[in-house]
Amino acid sequence: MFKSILLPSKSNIIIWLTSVYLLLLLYLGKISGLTVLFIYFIETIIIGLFNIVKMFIILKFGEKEKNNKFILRYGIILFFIFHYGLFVGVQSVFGFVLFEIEGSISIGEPFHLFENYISLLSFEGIQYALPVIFLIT
Amino acid sequence: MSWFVTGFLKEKRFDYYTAKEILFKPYLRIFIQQFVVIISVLIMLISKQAILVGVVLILIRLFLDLTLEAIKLNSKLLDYIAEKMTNEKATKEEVKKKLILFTE
Repeated sequence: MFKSILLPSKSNIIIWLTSVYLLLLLYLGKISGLTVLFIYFIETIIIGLFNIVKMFIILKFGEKEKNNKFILRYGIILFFIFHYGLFVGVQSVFGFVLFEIEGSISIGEPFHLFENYISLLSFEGIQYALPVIFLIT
Repeated sequence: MSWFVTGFLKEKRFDYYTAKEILFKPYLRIFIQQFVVIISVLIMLISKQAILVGVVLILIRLFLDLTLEAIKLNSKLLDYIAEKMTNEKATKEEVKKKLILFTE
């Protein structure tokens, strides 16, 4: 069973390569352990954005959504943005408090979400690591 | 992105689901992910070994992604898990559909 999960194959090769790439960046000192932590933290937003796009495509082109009325169809995206936005907002505040306590990055006020995410995006090595997270999300 | 292009768009997976089914899909994965992130910060605070935490995070994530990929492929693993989870409330096929949706 584990063999079928773990062995590299055509379908999971991108996952393997991404992990090897991140480990290599860590080994070479291009990123730190905290960078890895930050990219997985930021991935929450990327997953949400992809979900919005998927929902839009399903509503626009999907077989199962052909007969719904316009407002019923696209209202669900607005609901998701609101609900997921709240979810991400709350967990971000919690995450920023933890990062502040850890001390490697200056966060300041945990409720200033936009500024804090900008700080994370300018963290050492994030430019090398974040694109691959886009790839496997 | 890779699965979005090769699976969702190319295989027209958008025909199999309703928007409502996709709506809550990210939450479980995000919950697991955030849990791992929080635990990692706590380990980092205690051990001060950031690089070790980075390696552990990458390895946990690798295993999680490989497992999800194996389920996604309608594999033996999917069959095995669905068999274990089947009960009087949900048939094997229903469990399978939910698992595949989770990996979408």
